Amino acid sequence: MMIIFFESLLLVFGFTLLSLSLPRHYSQVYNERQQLSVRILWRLRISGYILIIASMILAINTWGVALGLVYWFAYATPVTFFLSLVFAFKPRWLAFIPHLFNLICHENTKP
Amino acid sequence: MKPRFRQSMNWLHTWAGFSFGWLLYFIFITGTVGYFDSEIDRWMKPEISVVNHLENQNEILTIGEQKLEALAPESPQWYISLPASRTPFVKIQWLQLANAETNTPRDWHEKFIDINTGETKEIRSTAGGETLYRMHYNLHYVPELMGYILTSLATMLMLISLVTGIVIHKKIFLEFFTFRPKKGMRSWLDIHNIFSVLPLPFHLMITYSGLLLLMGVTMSSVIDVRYGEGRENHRKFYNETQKDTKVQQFIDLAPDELSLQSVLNDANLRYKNQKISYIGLIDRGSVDEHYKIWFDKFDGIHLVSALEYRIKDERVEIETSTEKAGSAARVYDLFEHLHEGLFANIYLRWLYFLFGLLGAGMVATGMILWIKKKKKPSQSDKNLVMISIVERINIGVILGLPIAIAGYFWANRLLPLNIEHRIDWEVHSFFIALLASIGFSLFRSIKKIWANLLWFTAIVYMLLPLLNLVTTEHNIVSSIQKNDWLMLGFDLSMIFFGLCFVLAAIIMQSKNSLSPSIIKQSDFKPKTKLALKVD
Repeated sequence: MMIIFFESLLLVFGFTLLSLSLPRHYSQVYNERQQLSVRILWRLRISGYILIIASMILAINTWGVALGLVYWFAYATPVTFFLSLVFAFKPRWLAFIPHLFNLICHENTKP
Repeated sequence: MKPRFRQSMNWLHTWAGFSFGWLLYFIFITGTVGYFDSEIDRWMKPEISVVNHLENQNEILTIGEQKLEALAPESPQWYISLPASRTPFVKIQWLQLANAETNTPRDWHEKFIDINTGETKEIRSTAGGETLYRMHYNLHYVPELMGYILTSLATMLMLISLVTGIVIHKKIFLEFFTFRPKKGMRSWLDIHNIFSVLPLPFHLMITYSGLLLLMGVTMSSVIDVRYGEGRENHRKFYNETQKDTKVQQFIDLAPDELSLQSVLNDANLRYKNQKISYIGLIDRGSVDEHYKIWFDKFDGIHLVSALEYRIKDERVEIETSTEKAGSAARVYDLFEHLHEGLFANIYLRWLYFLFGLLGAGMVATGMILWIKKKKKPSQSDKNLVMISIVERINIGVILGLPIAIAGYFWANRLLPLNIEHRIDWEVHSFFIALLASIGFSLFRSIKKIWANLLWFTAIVYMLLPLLNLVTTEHNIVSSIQKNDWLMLGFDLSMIFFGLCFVLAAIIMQSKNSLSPSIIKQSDFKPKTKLALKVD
């Protein structure tokens, strides 16, 4: 149960960071006019991938290769589905996640 | 070259999806419901008495054995199913051989046992969860072979639609999370993409494995060439290819002590972490009389091996089958288990269910997109009438199937218990409900069909627990008291689905109350890049 929770958390964070590396979603969550700089883009993208791969490793480690992949895909789908709904209706909810990882704080403090 | 390639892929995607769309929707919905076949079965047999405390397997086995002794002394095959997580009851099954004197055919029988009284229970005759689940590949009314071929064909087209869909989706990563509501065609396409792309691993797996599962039928000529035509030869093919790797060992058990009880005890000692769910005594009275044991659990995706006990050279030998001998059979096995999801625990089972619904949603939104794209004022009047009919039937099918399933459940409770062909009538009710909702959509004003049918669906689902309360001794409170979690889960799920339909109906009504001109504008003027069809 704990594992499932942790697994989903990793996936939520990972996919959020990854999606924020897309200009469309970035400006949805933050200021419309703020441009996504290349540096932040890659920071978000790489850390997103790291978290997602970490979650996959965790799943495989817990359930074995075959079942681990089944579980990983099974959890990734509702997580991404949920994120797409959040992006559509309440994108700002996700604003805090990059800050947790201290990824874009410098740029955002600028006026 | 490239644009033309994309165009032809587009054409293929549209027509491969559209031509079997309704059948695919039917397959997706009934197959999805099949993930809960045991649970549905329990609900449809309310007379079953559930074992809800820690039971003594040996006592249950004794009761089962006595009953089998009394009911089927001649039968060559006995099976006793012990309470397990998804089937918390005791059931005995036996094979009745054909008897020319009494003119009885070879047939399987099953009885449920109430372990409090030790007597068998009369269960209403019902088609149950299994018939509902089987519908997704035998289509019920058509001959078996025809059903298999039609579903395989639909599956093939589904696979084509999936692959071409991936090809024509230009921004599969860029729009991975994108849903833009209230933008007419754009929103429909977004939602279609979300339903398809996010559960894509599931869709590909379920479609591909679905094709594999029926390959014995669709590719039968391959078997014909190697093994010859006819049932016998095909059986030979299956026996040869699906062979298990088996390990034998002799154990310290006196041959004359070999019995159902001793087999149960021995297997329990040997596999302390596994729960035995099924015991069989096979080929009774013959030279090859043996006992077989199945476990409740899966080891990963693979079925935990079955155990066999038999007497050989005056000693007791046990045989464990570990996995399929051939590597092709192992791949087949893996896909079969992935498709059926029998290994899934309750969380994964619900996810499977959710993905199945997303698949149905993918087909439904695909159909809606097709209609919306065709419905242009520039079409001739005759075409517009045709499209309008397709649109109406489409709504009738999309909401008709949930209604049909509810109708199936209602029929289970409402049909008189002693009516002849009760099982058939339950299934007829399913299809009558489906046809009725299509009929309703054909004649109702097009703006009101969605809302009307959604409200109706919500009501039939919400009332199911109430119907359960009125027609049986089960209700939500008593299920909690008796720890009857399957019954409780079913009732609560029905209320949940009802609420979902209420939500959908409210959304639909608020959308309808928008000024119609806005909807029309956004519906009829898709952006140019969205006009997928090239005229």
